[in-house]
Amino acid sequence: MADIAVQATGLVKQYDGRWAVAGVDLRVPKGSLYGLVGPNGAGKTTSIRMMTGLLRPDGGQVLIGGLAVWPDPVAVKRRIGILLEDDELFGRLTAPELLEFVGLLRGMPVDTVRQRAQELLDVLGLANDAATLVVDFSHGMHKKVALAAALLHGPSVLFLDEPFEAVDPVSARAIRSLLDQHRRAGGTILMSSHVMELVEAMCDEAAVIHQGRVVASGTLDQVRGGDATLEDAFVRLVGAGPSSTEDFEWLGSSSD
Amino acid sequence: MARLFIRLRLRLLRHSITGSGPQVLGLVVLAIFAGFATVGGFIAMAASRASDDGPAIVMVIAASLVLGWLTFPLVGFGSGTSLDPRSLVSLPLTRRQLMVGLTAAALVGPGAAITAATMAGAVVGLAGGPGSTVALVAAAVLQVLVCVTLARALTTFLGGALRSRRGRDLRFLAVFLVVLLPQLVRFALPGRLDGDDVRSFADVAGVVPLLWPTRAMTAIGEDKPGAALIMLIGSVVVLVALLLWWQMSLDRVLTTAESGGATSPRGRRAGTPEGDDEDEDPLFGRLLGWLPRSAFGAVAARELRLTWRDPRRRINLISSILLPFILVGGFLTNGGIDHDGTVYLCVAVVALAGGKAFNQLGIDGRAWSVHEAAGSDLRSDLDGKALAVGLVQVLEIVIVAVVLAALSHGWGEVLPASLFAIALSGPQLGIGNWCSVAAPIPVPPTITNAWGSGSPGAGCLSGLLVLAGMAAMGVMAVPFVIAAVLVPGPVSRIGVAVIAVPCGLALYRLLTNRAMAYAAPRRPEILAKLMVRST
Repeated sequence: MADIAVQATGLVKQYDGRWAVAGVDLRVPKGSLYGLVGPNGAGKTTSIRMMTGLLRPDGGQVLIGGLAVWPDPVAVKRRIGILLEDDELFGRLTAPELLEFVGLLRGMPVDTVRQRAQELLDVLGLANDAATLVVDFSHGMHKKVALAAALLHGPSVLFLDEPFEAVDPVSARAIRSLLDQHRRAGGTILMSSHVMELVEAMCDEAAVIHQGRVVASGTLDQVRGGDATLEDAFVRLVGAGPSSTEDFEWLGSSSD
Repeated sequence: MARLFIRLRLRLLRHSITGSGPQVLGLVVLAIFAGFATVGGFIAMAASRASDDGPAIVMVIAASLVLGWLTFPLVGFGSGTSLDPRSLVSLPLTRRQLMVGLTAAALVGPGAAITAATMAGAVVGLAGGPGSTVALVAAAVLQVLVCVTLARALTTFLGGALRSRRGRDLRFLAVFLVVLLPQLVRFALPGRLDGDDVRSFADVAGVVPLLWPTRAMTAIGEDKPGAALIMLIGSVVVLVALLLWWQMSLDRVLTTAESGGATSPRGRRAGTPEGDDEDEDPLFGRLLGWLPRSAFGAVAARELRLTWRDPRRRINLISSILLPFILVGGFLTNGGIDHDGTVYLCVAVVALAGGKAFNQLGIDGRAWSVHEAAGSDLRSDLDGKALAVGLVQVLEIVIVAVVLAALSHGWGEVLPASLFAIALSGPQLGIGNWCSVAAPIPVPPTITNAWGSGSPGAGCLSGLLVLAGMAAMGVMAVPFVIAAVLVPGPVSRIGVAVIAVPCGLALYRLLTNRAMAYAAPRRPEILAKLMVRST
């Protein structure tokens, strides 16, 4: 138990009579980079929101560092960093203003906040845009500043929902380097992604969620089973075998 | 092609009414209004026949129609039912096909119905013999086409700017000012308009090329065939000019890319003076340097910065200063206001400005998740927001009190009036905190005007929330107002007001504690309400 950073047991959530999450069980080892994969609408984001104290589950339990998220999510949020896929930030602030705001909101000393904010903006390539309002940022820049806000207080556990989405290769490399540093310092990361190659290259363990349930989990070898790649295993697990496209002979046939 | 566009427009209109109860209710109200405007426009124009000033009345009504076509498409730009040519650029449509289709689509809807019915009324009102009726119908059709083409050309020309963030901000302010304009004009106009005023206005309006078709109609009504013919030819020229303008704008839309951002490559300064202090202390800067470097100070600093940067908050600020003057415009223009009235007006400022305090979390919308993800202390959040609103409110109170004192020569009332109003801010902000956590209504950051809301019906709900808050506030205000009225003389009132201020603060703390007790166990549910996406 001491080696488990995040443990979710029987997490469920229902919306309008439909199960968004129908029983998720996860054990994320301390110091690992854990991948969460699944098709669109599988329940990844809902699970992450419940695990981070942002969405009250209808049932189940979540422990982070041995501490129950519910019923005191605020205490847990002080220890973790969260990057959500659809994060909306205060767009009318600049990135340095936003990071200072978030740091002070977390009760950090202002000097520490400014120093870390500057370092993060530098490494993420946002230093030259320090005077631009976040609302004028591109999607990738928006993602990077949200990541900086999640990292600012040096959390022991990071929850990242699609952290590499719309991020350019240079910034992606910088983010990977930051995440490596986080793990070297003993931190744990739970990351969702649609990019199987990325999960395969970065993660130690992974879970595949489909229709609100974990259909496979463990080390990458265990999840892959007999398949050559994680993508093959994923396609097999979610039951979406190769579709026939023979009926689509008309594709590309336009002569106009 | 025209039929296809009309079907598309009808489908969009139909989808806009398949929503929740409040949405349908709002649209029913809109339909009733449109129905009244259609019938009313027809009757008003037709009835002008009985008046000696009939042609002038026709011209004034037509002028208001043209003004509507100039402003409403800009207000509604980007909404679901408006057809933005930018969304059609990937389709293999020629410019001509697009123009025909978009014109046909624009002719379907309440705006076109109101305009067509009103101009039909003008035909009835001005008709003489059969020959004149044919000419009147032609001119009326021209007027409708000028209106529709004007709106399409304008939105196509300004489309890029309207889609940009800065353009949206400017539009937000412009729409607010346009809506406010009639109220402000009231100050400049005499209390009652007579026939001469209407005729003078009609003479001026008749010079505007966009109204030449109607000018042609009034010339027919006045039995001036020569003038009517010249105006008809002029109207055709105006229509052709508008079509050419639209055509050129469409060409630009179809063949150029829009820059998404509104900034220079290195970004722009975000409304702060350049300087080292700003770089080293980005959130607080020099101006807000006195605030504590804590969660409470950070929330207050952010709110104060957003007061001007966020167009929704900017409108709140401007309206809360202007609205008391608009409400008492009659008093001010008809012999001024007595000294004691200053007190009540400042109280009115607090009550009206307080609307923004009743949905403190909703104005952040989905961005409130930043607070939740940080596990922040709710007391700091609420107190920081209340401080920012309170500081702006004090500024508003002082401005209104000074202006009213200058108008009424009641300088002695400035201090007691301001203190009473500040005292009243306490319970009001406390009630605001309670409303904010009990019924948070998300306001998305991309609404197009000050009256827009995230989802149909949300605006109505928000208005009810403000009304409920103001009713509670009215009850709280009773002892303060009684104290202000019963105590004679400004000096005594200052004494009472000085006591009232700590009472107001105590009420704030009491009410905020109640809000905290309510909200603490419900934070995920509050966040869930704020995370609803706009439709």
